[in-house]
Amino acid sequence: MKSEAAPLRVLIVDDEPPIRRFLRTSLTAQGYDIVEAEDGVKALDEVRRMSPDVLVLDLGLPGMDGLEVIRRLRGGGATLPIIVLSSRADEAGKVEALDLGADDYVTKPFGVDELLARLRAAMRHKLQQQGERPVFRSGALTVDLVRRIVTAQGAEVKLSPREYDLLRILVAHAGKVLTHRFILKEVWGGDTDVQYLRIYIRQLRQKIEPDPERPHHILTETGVGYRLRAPD
Amino acid sequence: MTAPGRDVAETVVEHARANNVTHLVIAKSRRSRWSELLRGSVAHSLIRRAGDISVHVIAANSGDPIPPKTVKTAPSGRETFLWWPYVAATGYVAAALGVGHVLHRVLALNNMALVFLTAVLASAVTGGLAPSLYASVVSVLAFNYFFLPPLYTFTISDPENIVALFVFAVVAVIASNLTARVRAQAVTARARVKTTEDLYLFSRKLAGVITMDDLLWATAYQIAAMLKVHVVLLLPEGESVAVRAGYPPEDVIEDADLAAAIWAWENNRPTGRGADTLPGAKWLFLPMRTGRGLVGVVGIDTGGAGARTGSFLTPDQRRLLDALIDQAALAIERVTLAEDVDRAKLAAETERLRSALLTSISHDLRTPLASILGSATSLKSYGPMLDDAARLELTSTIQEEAERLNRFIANLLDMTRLESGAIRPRADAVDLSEVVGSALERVGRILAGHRVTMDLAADLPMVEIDAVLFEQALFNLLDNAGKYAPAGSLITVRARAEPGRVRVEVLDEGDGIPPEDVERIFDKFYRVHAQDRQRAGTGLGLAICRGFVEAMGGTITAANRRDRSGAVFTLTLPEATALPRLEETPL
Repeated sequence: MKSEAAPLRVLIVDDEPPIRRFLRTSLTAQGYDIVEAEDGVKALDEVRRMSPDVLVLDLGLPGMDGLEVIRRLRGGGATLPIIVLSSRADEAGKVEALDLGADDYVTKPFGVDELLARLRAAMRHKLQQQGERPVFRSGALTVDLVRRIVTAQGAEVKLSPREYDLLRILVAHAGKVLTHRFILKEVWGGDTDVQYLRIYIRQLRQKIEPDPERPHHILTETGVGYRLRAPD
Repeated sequence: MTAPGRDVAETVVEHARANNVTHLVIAKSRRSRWSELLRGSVAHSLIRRAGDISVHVIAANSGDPIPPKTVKTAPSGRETFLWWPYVAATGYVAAALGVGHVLHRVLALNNMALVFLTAVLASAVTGGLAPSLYASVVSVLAFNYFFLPPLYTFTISDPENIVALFVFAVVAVIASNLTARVRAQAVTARARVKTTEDLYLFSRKLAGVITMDDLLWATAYQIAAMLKVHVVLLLPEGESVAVRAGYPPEDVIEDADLAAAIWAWENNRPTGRGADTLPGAKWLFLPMRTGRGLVGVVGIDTGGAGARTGSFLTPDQRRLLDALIDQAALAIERVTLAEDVDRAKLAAETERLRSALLTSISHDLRTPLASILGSATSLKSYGPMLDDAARLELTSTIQEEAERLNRFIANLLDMTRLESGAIRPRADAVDLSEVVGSALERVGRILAGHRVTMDLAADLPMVEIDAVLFEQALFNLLDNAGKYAPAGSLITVRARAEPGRVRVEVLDEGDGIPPEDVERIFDKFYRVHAQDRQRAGTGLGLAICRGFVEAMGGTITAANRRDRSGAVFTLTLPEATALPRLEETPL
């Protein structure tokens, strides 16, 4: 945690009391300040009233569902990070939530470690928005964003402009999942076949991964997109 | 009834006595008196032999509404005139003349009667009555012309020869008559043998038929072919009967005929043309019965126009039809019973699956729940008394069992989605190594005790698959390998490019699949008998695997490895159409 003085406030929105109880207990123990809501309407109220730093939002809420909550929050200009709790076999829901402006997702059932990692990545991104760090380091991978130099396993890597753009987008959102559509828009500027993205990811992995078949840095989120592993 | 015996009257009376008949009604035939003199009258013979049976003789009348069932002792076919027996008869007589001429010259024999008689008998044997009578006449003339003085005239000088010639004529006609009857009986017997053979072949054919459609088709065809009629077969459908087969196949029956058929079915009696009920119908419908009851109705029609006059079926044909129907009825009953047994088996199988599902669910849900509940209550009640290692053990148990429970529920969900048709693959071009990598990542903890290698060819094309479904299929395969291959053994994921597709293999080093299980291994709830050391599976993983792979146009097969013990699962995935490459210069 960057600031020890003011604990980060997390709004937990889920209609299942056991889930809220488990999250409250675990996150409080990690030093977070917890606010709870059990449905979408209350969630919007709590966002206004309590100004949480981050929102943990179940998609399958009764009444107004999670997607609608995201739509209204982003429509109203709220920028707080949103982490979605989704069920398995709902890739479409996850992708839609991300496209609507959610920052990341965790699939139920999940371990608390996973949720904490997503929370940290989301907060890091928020904190970094003031200014990108000039050099990204993760394990044996270094990306110098000012001089545009990439080194992996101690050697400089030659990247094509497109490959570099791709890596830069991933670095800018390190730890966060990026949907295919988002990356295509950022790197290619619009409607390009996802097959090109897959080809470039493969090429990029060949150049920066120690074992391209078992990637350590660029992780595949099957059916959703990619995620660059955040520095430890 | 047909009388196959030598004597019609005798056969009729025997039959009547055998069936306890008290009254006989016969139609007086309109044959000539000559015919009666020569062959005797059936009516007279019957009356003479009937004894205590009353015999009623009625006049034959062509205006009968119900066509008379004519008695025939010879097979049909006599109606058409055949000329060859007469040629043959002429030939025999000519030969007799030649032989007689030689005998006359060499032995100076004058009485050639026996030589000509031979020709007459030969004509009777080969051609029947009429040709032999014709031969008799020709013989008398030739005998007279060539051998009786004065030679080469038709006049006879010696009165003795006139007597001889008359006697010869009488003998020839009687002999012709007798021989022809013998011949007719022989012909009838041959026809009967042929019919019997056909029936036998038919019953053999029916015995080999398994499906109802084949059986009905064969029956309709056989009846149509043997009797030269149109045939429809009606089988029960609900409370009534409906047409199930026919020959010619395009034949349809009208509503009025269908009503006759239904009446025949409901009353178990012949109906329609030529029968007592609804004789105005175009078709004749006969119930098909077995010892157990009615199995259907067969409809017969002679087709062509004007067929309504004259006899519809000869007694011979009717007898044949009854035999065919009996055999068909038995076969239909057999197939129906077999189908019932199949249905019962299917129901039993469904029931077995359902109970397997319940057993599986209750076992696979309860086992992890029991571990979780036990560990959690231990932690709650005795947490402070336990050392760190024990607490870690309990919390690890909770975590692992919860994950197992999660996998099981995910499988149930996938199976439900598959069976309800809710799986709609969204295939696009996917980098196989990427999906294999993420499947291995997910399965990581489960295969922690195994070594896993990836052997993917460098030149693999993109594949056209739904990445999410394929990852789950691969996950299930790896999970399965982890269950059946011993800890420490090697699990390999191999992929090779083939024309138009990519072949993926998952190989393990376990005991392999028992040969008898190879075919059933993808069945729902099927598990290869588990050893103690093996973790129990749900019996769903491979079924889902096949369902997913096939849903996206791939194939999956199971086999045993050839190089060593172990199982190999082989998947083929369609290659994606490659996009044009984007050219770029390096930085």
